[in-house]
Amino acid sequence: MSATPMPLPDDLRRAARAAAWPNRDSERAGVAAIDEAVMAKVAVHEAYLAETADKFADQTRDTLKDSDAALSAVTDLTASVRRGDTAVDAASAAAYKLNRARIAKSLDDLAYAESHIAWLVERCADPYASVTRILEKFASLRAGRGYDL
Amino acid sequence: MSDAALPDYPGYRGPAAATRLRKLLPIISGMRAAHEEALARLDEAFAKGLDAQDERTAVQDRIDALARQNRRGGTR
Repeated sequence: MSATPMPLPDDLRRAARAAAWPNRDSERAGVAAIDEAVMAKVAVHEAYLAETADKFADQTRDTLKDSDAALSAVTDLTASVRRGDTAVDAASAAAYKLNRARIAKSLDDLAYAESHIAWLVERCADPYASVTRILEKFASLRAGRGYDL
Repeated sequence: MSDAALPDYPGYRGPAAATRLRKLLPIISGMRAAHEEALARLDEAFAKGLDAQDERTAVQDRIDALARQNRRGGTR
């Protein structure tokens, strides 16, 4: 079958089930072929999502390492000031500013990681819904594309 | 067959990747809390350090004033 503009997955599958087939066997085979073609497209998207998720997990582990280092530095400085080993002067004020900025950046990175993970988790958990959402949102993606039936 | 519910997509690598990512969320959350706490402690330590310094400066000023007074040989 030639490539046709891509309908939404559920619409295509429902259309296959609603279509008039010559007999039960051809209906079963036709519906199964449509389902398989749709699932194959979703599987490609799922593989991409899984790869993206794993890369982001690695990136997040690096972020956590950096965050841990920033936390250690700020904890050390705090303890030193508390003990009186570090005087509150121009030098320590500079260290204070530097550490504060480092922690603020770290907090931003962690907040981003948290929200991006939530975004990825939702899509990885249900790739079929993700494909449907993308096709609904970006109609141009559907033009001239098909399920390679 | 047209009335039958559509079979669900089975899911392969996606749900497992989602599970791996989800495991990071409590770690991130704990790290964020630790950062907030560390920032508060840092600010507190420096504020106390500044207060102590102000106190030391005030005491030193008082000592200097008394010393100057003694050098002039007078008392108030």
